[in-house]
Amino acid sequence: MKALAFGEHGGLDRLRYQDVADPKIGPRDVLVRVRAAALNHLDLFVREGLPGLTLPMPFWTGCDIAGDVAAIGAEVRDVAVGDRVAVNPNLYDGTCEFCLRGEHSLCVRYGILGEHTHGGLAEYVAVEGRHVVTLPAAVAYEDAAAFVLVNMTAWRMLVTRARLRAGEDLLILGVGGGVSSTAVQIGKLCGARVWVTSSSDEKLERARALGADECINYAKEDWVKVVGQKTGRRGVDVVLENVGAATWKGAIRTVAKGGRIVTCGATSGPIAETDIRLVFWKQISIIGSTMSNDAEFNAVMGQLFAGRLRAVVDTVMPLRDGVEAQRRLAEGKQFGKIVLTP
Amino acid sequence: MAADLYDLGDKPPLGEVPKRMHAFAVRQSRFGQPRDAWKREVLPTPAIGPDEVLIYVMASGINYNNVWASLGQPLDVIAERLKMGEPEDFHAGGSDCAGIVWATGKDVKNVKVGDEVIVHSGWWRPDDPWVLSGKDPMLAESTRIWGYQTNYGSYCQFARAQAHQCIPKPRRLTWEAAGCFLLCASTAYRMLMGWAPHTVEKGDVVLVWGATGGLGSLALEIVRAQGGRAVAVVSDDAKKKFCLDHGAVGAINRSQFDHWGVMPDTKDGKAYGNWAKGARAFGKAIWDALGERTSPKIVFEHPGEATLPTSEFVCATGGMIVICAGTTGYNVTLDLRYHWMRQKRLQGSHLSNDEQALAVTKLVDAGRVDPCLSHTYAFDELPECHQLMLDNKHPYGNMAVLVNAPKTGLGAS
Repeated sequence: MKALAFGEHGGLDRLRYQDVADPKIGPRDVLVRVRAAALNHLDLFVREGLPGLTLPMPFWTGCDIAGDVAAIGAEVRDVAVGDRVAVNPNLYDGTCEFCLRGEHSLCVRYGILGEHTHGGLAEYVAVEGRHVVTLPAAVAYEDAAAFVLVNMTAWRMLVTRARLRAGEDLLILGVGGGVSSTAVQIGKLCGARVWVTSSSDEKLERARALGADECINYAKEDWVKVVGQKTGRRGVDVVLENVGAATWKGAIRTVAKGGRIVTCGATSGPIAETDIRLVFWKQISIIGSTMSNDAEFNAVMGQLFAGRLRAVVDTVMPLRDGVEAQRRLAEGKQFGKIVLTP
Repeated sequence: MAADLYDLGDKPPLGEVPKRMHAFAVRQSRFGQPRDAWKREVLPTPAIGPDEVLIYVMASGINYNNVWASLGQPLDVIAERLKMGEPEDFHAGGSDCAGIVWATGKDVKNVKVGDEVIVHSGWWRPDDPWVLSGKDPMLAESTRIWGYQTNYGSYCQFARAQAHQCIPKPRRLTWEAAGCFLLCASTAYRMLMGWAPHTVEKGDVVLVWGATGGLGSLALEIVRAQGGRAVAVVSDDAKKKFCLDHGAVGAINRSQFDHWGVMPDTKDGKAYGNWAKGARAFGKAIWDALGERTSPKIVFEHPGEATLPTSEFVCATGGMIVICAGTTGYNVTLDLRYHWMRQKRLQGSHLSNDEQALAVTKLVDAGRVDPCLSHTYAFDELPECHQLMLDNKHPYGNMAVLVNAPKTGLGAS
């Protein structure tokens, strides 16, 4: 089959649309004919190489996948050849103390399909039968693929970890990113007033179209001051933070007493200078979160299927043009997901 | 007819309030070393509002906040109150006491004159909309620490408090034992039991920094009472026995490690490597103290700057670091990668609400938590108690001073 693969870690020049061996399935797996696969920054990080991550070469990434079931293993039930499906990218052992609690993304051997095993930037991918979900006819492959990873992540952050409630104020820092942009609509679904920041008026407009109530261009205004003034110095209940070092001090200042800062990444660097007095005087909660468990995956997919959340698609391109697609992502030109179709 | 002023221990008729009283106070002109700043004075006995009570103080606890009050730093509490319109140009502090209700405001219903009570130090405006809406008062805008940010605390012959602060005194305790523990105990209780789902459950491992202090020792006791397993951190081997006596399953001497302080830049490979080596060795010391490879679900933090990066590192996957102070400094470097990859939580916590203060007092009343009374001093030794605390020479646990109680050992029944 064809895949967007690399033979060694490195830059975009390592990436080639090339012939690779077809994946093999075990008795509990299904073979999915990929119809759409969306890109994430994770695809770039894995291609460049991550410390401690040793991969079988050639390797191809891709963790946001939708397609058709092409074959099933002998022990697979509830899935049939020809089913239209989306793929849950969680990989876990199912036996550790965290899995036994249903906390799959805390698994001691946690991995992500397309990061730790061959992914969906190919014509076919092998996945566990329990990790596909059937798509309603009305949901397009491209939308399903674009939806999965950022929504499972944002859903866990806001609904489970930060327990966002109706009537609360949610501040999303750097609304251009995939998790941040979809968090706008999840915030609205929860009944929150949603604040967003960006340095681009165009991205702020896109966020407003997704439901954002208060849009702040941080290149033109001091966002900490604006939030302070407009909330009567109270601040916001929840901050969704994945910028890190550059915005951390502001996040700590902006969150209200008893508020929550939930973090899933740090695009500007992970070392966060923190005035601990503000943490204990305001009794704030700083919460780490990554990916989701299967229940959260199912919950958020259900919102897509019911039409209450939608995929945010930037562009759809053929898989053979994957190098161009990854360049577009690396340059940060997109708003929403870049989807590749084999 | 009541006299104008009574000697300490010389009881007026129940319910009669003299015009003046004995108290220890700080004035702005005396800000400095506690032994000089705190002076015994005769002050007017304060009037009480409709929701307040006056308490005939039998014994008082000593807390670090009134070391700060005597230094005038980090907050000049007298200036703060003058700015808010209060007339007093002195601070008569004290945030922990046991005593007898001597007068009540017209709206007070939960206590009556003659009741023996202890007082927790969560103070808030009764008309604060946040409080009226039924939310946790410790997050209200008007919330203050009684006897630190408010005047007429437990270093007065008659203390003024809000009625909701009063909790029935545990009967089995002497005045000094009952008066010494609640600020630390209620703070520790909220930290350990107030932040679901990270509360202490049977078998849970809890790392307790500064375990021989007032706060740390109560944390050890509360963890044991909840069925958890506390690992104590102390600064010399001589302190280990105290910790084991108060419920710790093991103790670590942190002076055997040298990676404390601000975490080095991750780009500085050598320095960061040394730090990580120290942090890992400390993590192993926790496992050795426990006798198994289990990391703490809760890390009980109050040193802050020196220790928080290590706390963040050793905390179990999905666990919580809970912090109420920064006794070694406030500038903390967090490595957010541990935070999201291991889905940890850093939680700030401050004092407690009524419910939490009552809950921990019940544990004390039932004999399941020891108040960790270290030593009882005479009223006139009060400045020296604060000096010992500032100089870090105070005895392990919580100190008490007698106020109206004529000698130690009284008040228990």
